[in-house]
Amino acid sequence: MTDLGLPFQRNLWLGIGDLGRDAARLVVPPVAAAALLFGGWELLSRNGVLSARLLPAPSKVFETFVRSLGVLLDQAQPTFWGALAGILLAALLGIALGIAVSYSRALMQAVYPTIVFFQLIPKVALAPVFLLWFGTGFDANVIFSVFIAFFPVVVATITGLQAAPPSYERLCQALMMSRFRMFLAVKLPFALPHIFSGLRIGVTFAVIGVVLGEFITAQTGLGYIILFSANNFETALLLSAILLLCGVGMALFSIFLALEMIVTRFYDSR
Amino acid sequence: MNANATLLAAAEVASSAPSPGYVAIDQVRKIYNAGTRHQVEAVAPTSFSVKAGEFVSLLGPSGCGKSTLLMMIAGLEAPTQGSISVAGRAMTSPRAETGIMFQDPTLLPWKSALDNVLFPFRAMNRPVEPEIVERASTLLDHVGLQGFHGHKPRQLSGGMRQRVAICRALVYEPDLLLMDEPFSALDAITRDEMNLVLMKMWEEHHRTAVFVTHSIREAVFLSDRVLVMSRRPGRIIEDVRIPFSRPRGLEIGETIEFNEICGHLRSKIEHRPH
Repeated sequence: MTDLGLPFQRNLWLGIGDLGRDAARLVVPPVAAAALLFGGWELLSRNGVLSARLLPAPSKVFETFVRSLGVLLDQAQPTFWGALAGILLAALLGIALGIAVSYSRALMQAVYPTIVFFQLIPKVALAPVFLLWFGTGFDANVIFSVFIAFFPVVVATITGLQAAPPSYERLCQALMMSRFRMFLAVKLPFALPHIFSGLRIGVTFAVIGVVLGEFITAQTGLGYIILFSANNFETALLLSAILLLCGVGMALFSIFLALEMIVTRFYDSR
Repeated sequence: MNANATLLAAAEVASSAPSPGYVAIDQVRKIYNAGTRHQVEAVAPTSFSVKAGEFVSLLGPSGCGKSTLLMMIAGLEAPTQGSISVAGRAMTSPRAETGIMFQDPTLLPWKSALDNVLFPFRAMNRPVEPEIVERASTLLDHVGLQGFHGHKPRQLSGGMRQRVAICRALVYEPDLLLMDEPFSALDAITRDEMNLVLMKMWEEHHRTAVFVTHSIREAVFLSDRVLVMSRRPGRIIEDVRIPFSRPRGLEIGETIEFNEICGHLRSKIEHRPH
């Protein structure tokens, strides 16, 4: 039974050979699959089966990536900072509203249907409206990013604050804890895994929001580069920008992963 | 002693004339959703008392209101009518001197066994002195959890988790221990073990205890008195004194007397006709 903590103990007894075999099993299949994909792509591209204009070889993309790294990094900055500002504001607002709604039945009844309704709107369709309201600057992109990333965080916070079973509430009442102490000591730590999975979804949404904003306003950012190079048939540059965009996403994702580890460790050590 | 004090003392004697128990339940009734069409009478007007140091079980079929009664003694729910007093004080809200256990061990998953036992002190904002930690460790050792103080709940079995919960209920030295079917989610063998652990802890600490269960044998094994409750709306229909001396071992379950008591209790429990 996993309940007995056996999986935790097993790791202690793994020999070096086992470790090596485990690593091999984890690493080899994805590397092989990727090598096959990129190798095949390279081969087909060189033989002229794939049009170099539509899909240049990976080596060509990499070459362009290195050559235009300066420009790309320049343009990655507004995208990165915009998405970071977007997810941070969305987290702040989303968690705050989630808590407020969880603690007020009236607010829950008033606001929750609206939240669900807004979640159903394809928010991309609203991007031009935001352009109309907030102009074409960096701020407008951030606002749109917040708007998109906000909903998964609210919903995750509300779900998370219901995660502690009712018997825990009884225990806290029997121990005469105030609602605030109960929130800090029990409800919030039970909610954290949910909140962080909401934030992880929010991070990807925030990047989508900023890039979408850059598509529409077409002034700066990786979204602008992508749009620009597509219009000029510079497919290698386009793919390079997408590659860097993945990097931006991964960097943001790692920040929140690290944050989750810090917060979890804080609760574990108390 | 001056005249005034004598008078006061006399008045006190007079007011406690029918000698209410440590836990006194007086014509308590509980109706949920009163006045709506979902109205449910969970507990019919009920009176009984528990003496200091007594172990009393509430025995009855599922949904008979025995847990509701226990939650009212804990001060977690208010009776619709009637009154409850514990240690001479009317219960209107939870009190710090009551220890409580639920069917779910309700351990905090991110805390070690020891930290879970210490949780009531943090919850009540009391300082955790070294001797408190010492007391918590001793309790864990006494329920057979030597070497598991640092384990997280997920690394413990169901029985071990309830052992931690017993320690958590005892660590702040409550005078009253309330238990709501604490072992009903465990398998039969673990349950016997837990009964022995609880018995041992109760004999060491000797708190007044109210134990809710739907197991006849568990009630008879643990208790000084077993109160049988009727189907909903619950009321006490039988009050049986259990004569076995303490300490008790599992072998008393094999005696004729034990089984006769169980048979008598079983005959009192209202089974639904087939």
